[in-house]
Amino acid sequence: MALRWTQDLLSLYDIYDEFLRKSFSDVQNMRQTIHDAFIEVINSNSRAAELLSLFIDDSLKNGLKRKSEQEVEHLLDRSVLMFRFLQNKDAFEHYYKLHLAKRLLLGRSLSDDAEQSLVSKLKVECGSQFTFKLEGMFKDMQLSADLAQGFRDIRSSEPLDFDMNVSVLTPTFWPQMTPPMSEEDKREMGNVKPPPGPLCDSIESFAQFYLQQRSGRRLTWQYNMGNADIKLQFGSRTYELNVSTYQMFILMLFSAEDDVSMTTAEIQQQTHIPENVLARQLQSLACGKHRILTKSPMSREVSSTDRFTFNYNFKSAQYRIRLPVASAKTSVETEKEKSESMAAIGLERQYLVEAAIVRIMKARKQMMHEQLVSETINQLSTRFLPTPKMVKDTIGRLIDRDYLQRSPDDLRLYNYLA
Amino acid sequence: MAKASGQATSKKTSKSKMVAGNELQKWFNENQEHKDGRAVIMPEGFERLCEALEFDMDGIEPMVLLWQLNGVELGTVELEGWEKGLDEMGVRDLSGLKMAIENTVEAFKTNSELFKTFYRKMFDYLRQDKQKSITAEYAVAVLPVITSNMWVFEKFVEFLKANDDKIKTISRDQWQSLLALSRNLEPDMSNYSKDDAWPTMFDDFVDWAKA
Repeated sequence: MALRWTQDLLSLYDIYDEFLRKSFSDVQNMRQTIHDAFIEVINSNSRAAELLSLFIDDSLKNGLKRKSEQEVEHLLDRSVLMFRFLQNKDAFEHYYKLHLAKRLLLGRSLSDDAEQSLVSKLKVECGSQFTFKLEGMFKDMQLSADLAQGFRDIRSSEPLDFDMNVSVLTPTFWPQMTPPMSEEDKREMGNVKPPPGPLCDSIESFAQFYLQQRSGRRLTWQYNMGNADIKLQFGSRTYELNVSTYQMFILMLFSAEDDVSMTTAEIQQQTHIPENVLARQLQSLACGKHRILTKSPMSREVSSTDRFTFNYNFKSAQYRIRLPVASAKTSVETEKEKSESMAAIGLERQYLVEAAIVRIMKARKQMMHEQLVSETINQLSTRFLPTPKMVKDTIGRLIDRDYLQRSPDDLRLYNYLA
Repeated sequence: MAKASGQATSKKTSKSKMVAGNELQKWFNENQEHKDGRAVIMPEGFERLCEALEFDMDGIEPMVLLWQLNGVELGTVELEGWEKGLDEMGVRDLSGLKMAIENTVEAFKTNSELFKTFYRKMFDYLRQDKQKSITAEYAVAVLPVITSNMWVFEKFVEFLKANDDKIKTISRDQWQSLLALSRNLEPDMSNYSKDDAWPTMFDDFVDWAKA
């Protein structure tokens, strides 16, 4: 349904476009009228920024299959046009970063070229400041691939018998990908480590390799964002599972010996995965379509005394099975998630309005209220449209903090305070 | 300022030294305390002074008195400010001081610049410690006293009371702009515009008042 909205919009535009060309020789002012109408319609939907990003996300993951190069270009151009009409461009950047991050880290993009092409088009629309972080994300992925090769080279004498792909991310480029959690949970999450064994050793080996050439840097492992393909072998059955890194750590606890039985609390203690995150991982392993673990009681809710055992009766017609955890999927936000996003975007906007006003006043030293408001709105309009009230509020705050003062002779005139 | 003689070139001398037998100086000496090594009148003493001057503690006079004596905080006057203030008012005794303050209060009615200076200083007296703003509670308590019969202030105080769950502080800019608003706003508020430079709190105030 989320995709329908954007799809319908694009189809509608195609109709008007054809109409304009064929019947009106693409007269400029008629096209402008159509554009104005689209601008109004798009921005009347409060979720427009998110929906547009979701549409592009789906296109880059599935929709481009079986499309010719020309069709792909057309789709991307149209998406960028809709982006031009969008008022809340900063909200779009927020969602786009998030969706792009998931695509890159989980390897879901159909075409690297299409991804890069889209970002270049956005750059033409908005300037490099806008796409700076997106390009940073691509660079990180490229560097990570180079690092992986370098790591394989130095270990050529004793290669790993599994494929390990480490993505090294520069924090400033990447969005916040962990859900908000308490300080305690954050600390606990920082304690997560793979169970001792070859995996743990190779992770440490990689860290050493990386830090050797880059002293002064710090690596913080984000196991919550990884995924793994593991081979599950028991009795005569073999399956390939695609799971989250956390799920892999959990399953490794059960593979050490036969008939392992653990409660949620015990699993939590051993893995250090925060409780509510752990619950979702266990639900996906024990309560979904494919039950790798057996949970007792069999209810869907996970409590700390629930007991888990490996399901030796597990059977599936598929060889390769994906066990999705809710957070990995890219879908329309819940109301709660939306308000969190809006809060983050709102905070960023406040900061941008402040910075713009200070910049303008620093340059001009003195300005009338009306002018300051319109100049500020103007400067920020490429990212979002601040309301005059927002600007006025910010002026008030800046007066309080002694950046500006009202002129004693005219209350509508502001002076910059150096 | 009353001068003792008509000499045009007489320099301003430190009158506090001249008036050793001055009733007010005596009063200060009898009621002073010491704080951080300075001679001060503290709130209790200040209240006694107001009683001596027959000022109602709930009225505007004590505040004007504090201001004219260059008080450092509510109810607190240091010797230096005391002497300078009395010097500028040209008074030597309690009845002179009483009259000077009452004249000032009367002058507020016609001298808007004078009132503005007093009104702005009041904000500083209401501030606590290092806070930049004052509590809405204090504003509600003090505004009616210093701005009696000014309808905009009355209405604004009602607005603050009605929104005491949302509005907790008043900034210096809001305080100062309120005076300007009171001198500018039409009774029907028809000349108020949100596009003007008024603090956004006033937008809410006008909306509330019109509702």
